[in-house]
Amino acid sequence: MALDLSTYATLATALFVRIDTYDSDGLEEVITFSDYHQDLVLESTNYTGLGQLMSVTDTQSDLRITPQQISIGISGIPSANISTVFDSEIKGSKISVKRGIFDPTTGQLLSITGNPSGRFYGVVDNFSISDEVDPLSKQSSIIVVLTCSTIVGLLNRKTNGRETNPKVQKALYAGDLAMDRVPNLTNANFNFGGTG
Amino acid sequence: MSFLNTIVDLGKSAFSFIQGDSVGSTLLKTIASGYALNKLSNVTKSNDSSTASPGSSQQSGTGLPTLPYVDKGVREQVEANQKNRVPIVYGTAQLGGTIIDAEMSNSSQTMHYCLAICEMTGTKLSDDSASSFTFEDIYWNDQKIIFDSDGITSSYSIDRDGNRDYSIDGLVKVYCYNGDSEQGVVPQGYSGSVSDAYDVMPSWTTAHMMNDLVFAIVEVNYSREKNVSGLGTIRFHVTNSMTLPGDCLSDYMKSTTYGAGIAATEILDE
Repeated sequence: MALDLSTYATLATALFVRIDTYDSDGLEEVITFSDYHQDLVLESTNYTGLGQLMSVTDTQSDLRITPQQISIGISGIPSANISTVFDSEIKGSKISVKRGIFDPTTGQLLSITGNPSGRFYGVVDNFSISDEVDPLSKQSSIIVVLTCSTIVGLLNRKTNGRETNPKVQKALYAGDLAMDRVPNLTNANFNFGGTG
Repeated sequence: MSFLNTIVDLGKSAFSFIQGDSVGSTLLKTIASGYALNKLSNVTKSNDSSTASPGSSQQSGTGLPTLPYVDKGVREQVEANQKNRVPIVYGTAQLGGTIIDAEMSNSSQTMHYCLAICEMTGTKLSDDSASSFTFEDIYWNDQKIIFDSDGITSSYSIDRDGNRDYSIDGLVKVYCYNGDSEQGVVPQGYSGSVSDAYDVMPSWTTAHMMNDLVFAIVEVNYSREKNVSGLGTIRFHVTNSMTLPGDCLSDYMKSTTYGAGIAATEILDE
């Protein structure tokens, strides 16, 4: 949907990232942040302003649905907080990236239809952590890069269908022994009808 | 006495001729052994005739006792594979099934094969009713099986030209299941009840449920005379009540077993 912004003299945009994940205790946890320099409330949710500490690779617009990937980098995380990154069950979490347009003077989101607009919906496919050491200040910080795939990308990789083996059958239906003999039957020979 | 002496002399001459190394004596010995072998061969052939049955013994025409008839059977190899996948059927299809179990019983005279035919599909979006499968026809070596009134025991098979073959009469039984081991059904056009699958497969228990699978158990009773000595090529013509495109797409998108596993909340299916 095209946004009519012709009546606004100045505009600012920011990307808002929302990750629905689980903490180390298995409880639902929502992580929200944006690349704006201050916290903003978007759709009743507060987004932590990371400013230039957050980066998002470009997305591509296609007429048809395509499997895309984006990377979201968060830098400047203190080393002491690394455990927080590991404790969170972030891999496989749902992620959405929206673009919001707002008035830079007031910092308020423009009240027009279609704002904020969706940029990317998918899941966190993988993440990587790298250290950034400053020898002068003798401090180090961490950069976390989240590699995200669209649902279409995941479906392309999905291998579906029930394999005829006991492991798969029991994973689907615990205690079902119907396929237990398949491994032993592979290339097994029966002397059918033999009376000797 | 000269008459008797002449006969004795002739016998001695013949015996010494046979014992000799001459070409003539060797030829005679070969003919004699060939004749003996021929007689022995005829005795064996008579034991292999259709009147013989496994384990029986006969008196040959020569009056000599013969060994009991032994049917060595056939080597039946089962094509089970852990990497086989169970297909999904929307609408109508003919499938051969995937072997997931096979057992021999009744002193090696009966084989039971369990064949997974396809996945049991879910609830139809259009009317919120559960989908179900119908077994239309079952084919044995490309010939349609006509069952007895019980819908399980084969009576004869019929080819494309309408020719009947009674060789499978009573020897092949097909038990069909629509969802799990306790959902036995008979093919369309027949009426009757089907025992639970775990009562048909010799070693199965109530823990062998075959959950959410459309499958069949085929019982084959060995007969060398009728040339029934294995599973043969069997095909099942099945129809799923789920046929509408929207129902099928919705089912495939949501299924975590065989489909995309997309959460229902992420699909606007109104």
